[in-house]
Parts: sequence; C-alpha cells; structure tokens
Amino acid sequence: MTRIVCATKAAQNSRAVHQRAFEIAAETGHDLEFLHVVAVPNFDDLMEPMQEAVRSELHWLVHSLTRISRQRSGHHDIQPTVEVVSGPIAEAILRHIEDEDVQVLVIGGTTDGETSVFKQAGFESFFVEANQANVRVELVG
Amino acid sequence: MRTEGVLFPEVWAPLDELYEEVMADSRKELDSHFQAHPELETAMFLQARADAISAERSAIAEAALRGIVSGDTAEHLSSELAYRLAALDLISENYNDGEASH
Repeated sequence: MTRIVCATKAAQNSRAVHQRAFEIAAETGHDLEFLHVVAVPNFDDLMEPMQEAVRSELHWLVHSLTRISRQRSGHHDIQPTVEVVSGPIAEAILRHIEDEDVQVLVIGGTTDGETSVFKQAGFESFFVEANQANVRVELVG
Repeated sequence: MRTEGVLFPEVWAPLDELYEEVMADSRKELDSHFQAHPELETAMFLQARADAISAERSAIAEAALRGIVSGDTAEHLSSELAYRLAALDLISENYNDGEASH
C-alpha cells in the first residue's frame, strides 16, 4: 500500500508538520506513517532494556502528539501508524523510505535555513537521494 | 442533586446546558493555549505518563504484598517499569525544551 511518511522530531514546532501530513493523507487517500528517529544522545551506548524502554516511550509520545494533531486537523478517519528508529537521522530516514512503498515524505522546515531534522547542507544531498528513490519531499514551514 | 431528585428537570437541564457551554469555552481556551505553547502539551503528556507508570508500580507492589503475584514476578515487572521511568526522564531532558538535536 502506498504511503506517506512524516518524519517528526516530536518537538514544539512539529504540530504544523503533522497537520500537513494529515491533509496530504486525506487528499491522496494513502496510508500515513509518522517516523521518528531517536534523539537521545549516546543512545547506542545505553543498555538494551533501556534502549527498548526509550523506544517504547517515544512511541507513546509520538502516538499521543499525532493524535492531538489529528484531532485538530479534523481528519478523524485517518489511522496513522508510528515507527521509532535509531541511527544517524538522514541515513535512518532514507533507509526507511527506500524500504517502503513511499510516495511523499513530509518534513519540517524552519526560518533559519535549516530543516527541522537536519542542517541545510545535509538536506540537499538528502533531497537528491530521496528523489532517486522516487519519493517527493514536502518541506513544511 | 439531579439523581437524588433535588433538582427538577426544568432546573437541571438548562443548568447542565450552561455548564456545558462554560466547559466548552474553557476547553477552547485551553486548546488555544496549548497550541501557542506546545511544550506544555509535551510536558503534560510526559508527567501523566510518569504518573501512570508510578501508579502501576505501586499496584504491583501492593499485589505482591497481598500474595496475588510472586515476589520474583513483581520484581521483574517493577524493574521494567523502572526502566520506563528512567526513559521518560531521558526523553524529558532531550525533548521537552524543543532543543532536540534534530
């Protein structure tokens, strides 16, 4: 099933990105998935039970925050899924969208020239790689 | 008072309606406030989640005291929940100020 992936950092400025992802999912009728890359420093050095607990609690957090966004967007019929992965951000997102049948990647932008997930310099090569995987990248904000 | 018959339907129905309107206004105000300050929403979620896990730990300890679950099982479950609480602390430190590294 074709899907839309929204890369979210689950932070203050993520709400607009979530809402845009819901809009695109409603317009296209595709499945919606929220992808979060763990942003805990030295995550790989944590003990395995701790890594599992962090992943699990982040799943709860992202799930809850996106539920709130869904409520506000009014698209109550859309049932998004949540995926929490770890690793270098750009790599983890690219790996995920290459593995899946992804049509659109929704990602947050900021006014200071950096995307909400990584710096502009990294974004340009990321954009090229995403296009090579036939994924349209939509920058929000 | 309504269920006890102290208030007649003619009285409680409009009162109920009025309370609902006031509550709806408050909910809207609260929602606008959260939209303006999303960090509060995240903080509230993390606190609520920590409270829920702590309550679960207490319930397990109580169940162990009453002999409903074995000491080993209680210890195992409690240890898992301790990881969950520690995980929430880590998440709170790294996500709640909006300065997450990505």
